[in-house]
Amino acid sequence: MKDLSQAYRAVGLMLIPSGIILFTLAFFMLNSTPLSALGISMIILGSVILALSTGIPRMSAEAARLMVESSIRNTSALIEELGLRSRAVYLPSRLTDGKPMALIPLTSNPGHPKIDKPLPKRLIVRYGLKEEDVGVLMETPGSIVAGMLEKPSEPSESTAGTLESSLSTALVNVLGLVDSMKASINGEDIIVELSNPKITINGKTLASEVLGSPLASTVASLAAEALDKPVIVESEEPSKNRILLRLRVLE
Amino acid sequence: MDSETRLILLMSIMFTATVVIFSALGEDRLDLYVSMFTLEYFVSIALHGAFKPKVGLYMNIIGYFLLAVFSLIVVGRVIEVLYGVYIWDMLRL
Repeated sequence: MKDLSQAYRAVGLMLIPSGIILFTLAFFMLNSTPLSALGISMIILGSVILALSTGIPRMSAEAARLMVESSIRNTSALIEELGLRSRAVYLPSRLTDGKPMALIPLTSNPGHPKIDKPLPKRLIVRYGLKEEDVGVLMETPGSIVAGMLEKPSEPSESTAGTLESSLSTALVNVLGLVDSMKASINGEDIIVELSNPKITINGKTLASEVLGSPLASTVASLAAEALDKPVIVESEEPSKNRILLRLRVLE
Repeated sequence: MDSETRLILLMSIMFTATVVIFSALGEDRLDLYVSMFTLEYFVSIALHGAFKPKVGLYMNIIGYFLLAVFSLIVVGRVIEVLYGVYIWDMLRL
């Protein structure tokens, strides 16, 4: 990855001076407009490539995958130790302390927890009036990504189009985790189709059963933030070069 | 193909096509080429979508610079219409 960033930088730094020289020669000496224009286009293209070089990650994908995997194993150990089995509820920033987070209830109640007031920023939180209404509040990759995106002005008005646009910006353009994606909303169900995912974790862990895969977790956090409602990951169906996610919006 | 490669490829094709087509048509106004490059730049950026924050900042700087150049071209044309003098021609040796 470092090589790619350096290659972009080298190409950019080569194109800009070449463009300046070509423009100067063509405009002032050769009096050729097409060649002058070619010089200008080289300067613009060189500047764009130089700008893009600043966004290429310095860490290799393999190193990032190993770090994510170790983090998932640690989370799995914590989940196993606390005896958590319920599926995580992804909360929007409105219901937490500033960023979207995942709440894992300690008890497996038949229904999902109903949260109507912001939860404190603690690992173990009380979300209801009953004694058993206690859960673990965790940050997920989506918590950090959501902070990088602009919050929609009217989240409750979000449609499949705005949700798809928000998810596409985060997953395709900013993180580069998938090549493309589609999202549709059908009542309380959200179906997200991710094409050519770049991150796959070997083996099924307890964390992936409770929180979902890293991709599903990111999508759920972003969807919760975009819709401003709690969301859970219902199912994940990976197939060749594609992952089909089913999320459910909780009222 | 990742989105960065797509953007570079799209911009390269657009810029090259502009130079080839306009020069084949015998176009000799440099401001027309620059205006087209500015337009193509903004079209490519719009098609790409959002950038990472740091890249977005640099892209905005390039965009503002191109917009300033485009504004100067427009001002130059207005001066030409009003006074019959064109700035680009005065720059040539």
